[in-house]
Amino acid sequence: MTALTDIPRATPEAQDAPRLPRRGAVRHRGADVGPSRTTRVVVLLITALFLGLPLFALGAFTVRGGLKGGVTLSHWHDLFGGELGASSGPLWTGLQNSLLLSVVTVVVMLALLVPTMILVRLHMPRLEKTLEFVCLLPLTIPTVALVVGLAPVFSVVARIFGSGSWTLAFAYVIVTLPYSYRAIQANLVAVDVVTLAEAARSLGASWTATMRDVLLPNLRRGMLAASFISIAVVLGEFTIASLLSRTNLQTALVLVSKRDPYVSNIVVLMSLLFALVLLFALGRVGTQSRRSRS
Amino acid sequence: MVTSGLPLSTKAKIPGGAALGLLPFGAYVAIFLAIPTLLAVGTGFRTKSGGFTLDTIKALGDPVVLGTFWSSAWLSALTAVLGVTFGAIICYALIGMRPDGTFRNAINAISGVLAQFAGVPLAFAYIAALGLNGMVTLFLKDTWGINIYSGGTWLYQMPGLVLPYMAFQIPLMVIVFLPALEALKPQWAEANATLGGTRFTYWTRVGLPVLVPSLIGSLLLLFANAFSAYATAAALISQGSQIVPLQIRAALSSETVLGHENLAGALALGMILTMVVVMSLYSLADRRSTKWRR
Amino acid sequence: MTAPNTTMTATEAVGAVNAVRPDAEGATVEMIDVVKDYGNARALSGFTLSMQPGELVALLGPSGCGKTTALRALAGLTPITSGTMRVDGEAVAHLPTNKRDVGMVFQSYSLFPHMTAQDNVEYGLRMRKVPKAERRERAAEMLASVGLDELGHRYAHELSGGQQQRVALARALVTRPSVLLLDEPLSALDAKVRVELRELIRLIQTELRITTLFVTHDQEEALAMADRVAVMSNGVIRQIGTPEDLYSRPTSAFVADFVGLSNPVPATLTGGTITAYGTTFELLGDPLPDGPVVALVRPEDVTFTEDGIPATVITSSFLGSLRRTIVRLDDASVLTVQHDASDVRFAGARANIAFTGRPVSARKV
Repeated sequence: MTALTDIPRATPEAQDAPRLPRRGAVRHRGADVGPSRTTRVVVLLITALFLGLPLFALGAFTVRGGLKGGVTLSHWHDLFGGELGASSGPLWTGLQNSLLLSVVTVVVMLALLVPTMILVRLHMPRLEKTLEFVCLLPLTIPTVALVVGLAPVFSVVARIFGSGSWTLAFAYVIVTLPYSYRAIQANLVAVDVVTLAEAARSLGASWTATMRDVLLPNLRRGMLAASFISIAVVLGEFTIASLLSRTNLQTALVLVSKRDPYVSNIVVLMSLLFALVLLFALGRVGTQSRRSRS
Repeated sequence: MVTSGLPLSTKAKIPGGAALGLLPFGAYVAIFLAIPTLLAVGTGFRTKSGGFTLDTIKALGDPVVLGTFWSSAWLSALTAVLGVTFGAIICYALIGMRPDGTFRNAINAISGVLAQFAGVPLAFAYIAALGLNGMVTLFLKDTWGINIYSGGTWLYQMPGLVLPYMAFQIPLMVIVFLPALEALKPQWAEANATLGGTRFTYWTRVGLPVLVPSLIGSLLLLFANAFSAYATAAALISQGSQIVPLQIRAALSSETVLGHENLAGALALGMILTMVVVMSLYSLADRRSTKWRR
Repeated sequence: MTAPNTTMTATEAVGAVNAVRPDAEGATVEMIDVVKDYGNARALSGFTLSMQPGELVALLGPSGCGKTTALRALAGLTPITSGTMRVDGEAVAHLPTNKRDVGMVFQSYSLFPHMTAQDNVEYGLRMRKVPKAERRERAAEMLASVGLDELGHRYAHELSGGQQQRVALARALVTRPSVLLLDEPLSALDAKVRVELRELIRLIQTELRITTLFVTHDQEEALAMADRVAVMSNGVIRQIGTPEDLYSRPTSAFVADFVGLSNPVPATLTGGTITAYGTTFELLGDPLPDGPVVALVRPEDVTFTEDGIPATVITSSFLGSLRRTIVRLDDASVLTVQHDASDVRFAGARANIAFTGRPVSARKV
């Protein structure tokens, strides 16, 4: 009986013997409590269908040739063929505004957040919990409620900085605060800035030199992550821009979609893909640096 | 997390200077977060001429307004429950991925885009799929003669919000819950096996019980997320106040809502209060779930 | 089984548990030619081990030697590529873990966090559909036998590391498995707790007569606890024997080096006899070609004498009942001498050392 249930031996001569047939032995995997392969595939397939169908419809719409079907790339041509029709104008403005907003938001966010977080971590560790609370507050205050109070603030801002759309960045910094904070904080904790700063100071470095040569280079990962996330959030922001009557990418899309759904859907599709690429690249940066450590 | 005792020299060299360093951040947050929040809440207590009044707050008791809060609440609750359920199943199907693998990275990126970025794009995608001229609508009509709009244009009203909301609730659940699932120690599954348990006993007696705080936390977070969402609804529903964020929109654009100016402020107060309660409960659940992760 | 009214001593409790199966002998375990490949890497290369009923075998070796793989293979947590495994003559390789009658204690984190200690210990009994009252009683007795009779209501995070491992031990043993498997259970604990727990494991294992396989990288632990020790490297057992065998009669330089301390002494091998500093030693273990070799001399085989090889004392450490003194010979070689604690040596002092001449292992230069 034992002969039947023993797992067959590999022939000793074969140095690079191929994998043994497992048909006889039960593939017990010890403590595998995960789903079977079938479950995995079925669930993920259904999910992909549910989440992917609308996006696929979006794509399909952009190549639709008239109400009776047919595929055409004419809509894509219209957009890229340089036809600056009534539709493309506001879209272009919106895109430009959003890109500018991204840049300004990232700059202000980094300039504000990084020194503050380093300062608190090095000199006022007791305030860390408070800082965390403040930075995570925007998650609790709905943007649509915040806008009610932003309007009067922005009328003051307009008097100082003008009423260009780029001033929205000041509000956007607050909106991205929770995500940026988390990204930078993870980095701060991982590299033990306290010890680094003490080491640099004991070797005679001034605070400027310490920041420039020791601390900031080690915070690149967190700052990059915070920047990427902020860009994604800013490009997708609609609430504040819309309710304060400014033009950004998303408000322009909504406006244009009423007149020319094809163009707006194409741009929507591309913006989704861009955001996807952005976040995917962000993930790669994170894992690469983790791999290079080990 | 251990913070090293800072050498006295660090503090002594910048006496009071440290507190000064917090000024930029503090001022910024005061101007663009604290003041707008206070203004938003405060306008609910003021008449048009600036005097103090409780009338607007009392307007929150108006059946129309209460109805809107109720709609918001059940939409949020429904999509939260559905989001948690389906999201958890999807997370289960995703068990066993390498944490720095490409697949995991892709999942993170996709969930991130869908959860944080896709307000307006999601609305467009659902219109493209299920709108009056949507791909699925036309397919059902042409192939099987089913007119999904025979009962009314539901996609552009309250019930139609459920599906697009699911498209960002489910990814948010994946973002929040997958780490909790991955934090289950393999030793527990192995101990379960050596003690004679099966996959079923593991999940019913060990896995799910340990995950209950995370599940509750996720439920609350998803509720908060749906409750404060604006962009998707605003893009789908161009007119009307079916949910609270849309009612704020209406109040801000001076559509006469019950003749109460500053209703937006009162609505903002209501929203913020709800969110504070939900998020406080969330942080309690979150703390409990990490207690066991040690 | 009647429940006692008074608090029992550990031995009594274990005896009471044992009363259920009074004549039970431990199981025999055979692992024959077990091979485990991970792709191109071979973790176990024809691992063969036979365990007698009730004995405690320690698997000892450096990281990566395959000891944990062998243990997990027996548990069923790691499927094997080829080979035979039998418990009491019955083949088990095809059985999933939960059908093998093994009790396992992990290095850490294995207690279910949402259950009390009592519930944890009852879990295995619950899986075997033991009725509630009996379950409760047996678990309580088992907890008492590991010294935790008042702490059954506590959760894992309310217990110290040592207490958690006691619960883990009780949990693994309460079902009276055929084999007890321990995967470095003491490695994550403080030194003092480690020694206490070591004795507890040995005591219970002996009283219950349960065949036990114990994996560790700590040779002191292995030598102190085991009936037999198997030293592993690169997926195979290099030598298996009693602790005395391994210490006094190592069959290879690897084992001699790994088990216990040894002084590497440059020497010459001629016809089976090693000569170093004018002393001759018999060679232990596998034969080596004649020529220069490195002899491995135990510190207790180096002594201080009136006249011998001159040396200077570098440092001396007090270890309770004995001392270890490090000396430098005039030719710059460094030796560790183990001697009585009452013989105090000071740094910088001159001394003379000699060798006892007991047989030594050696390796090629």
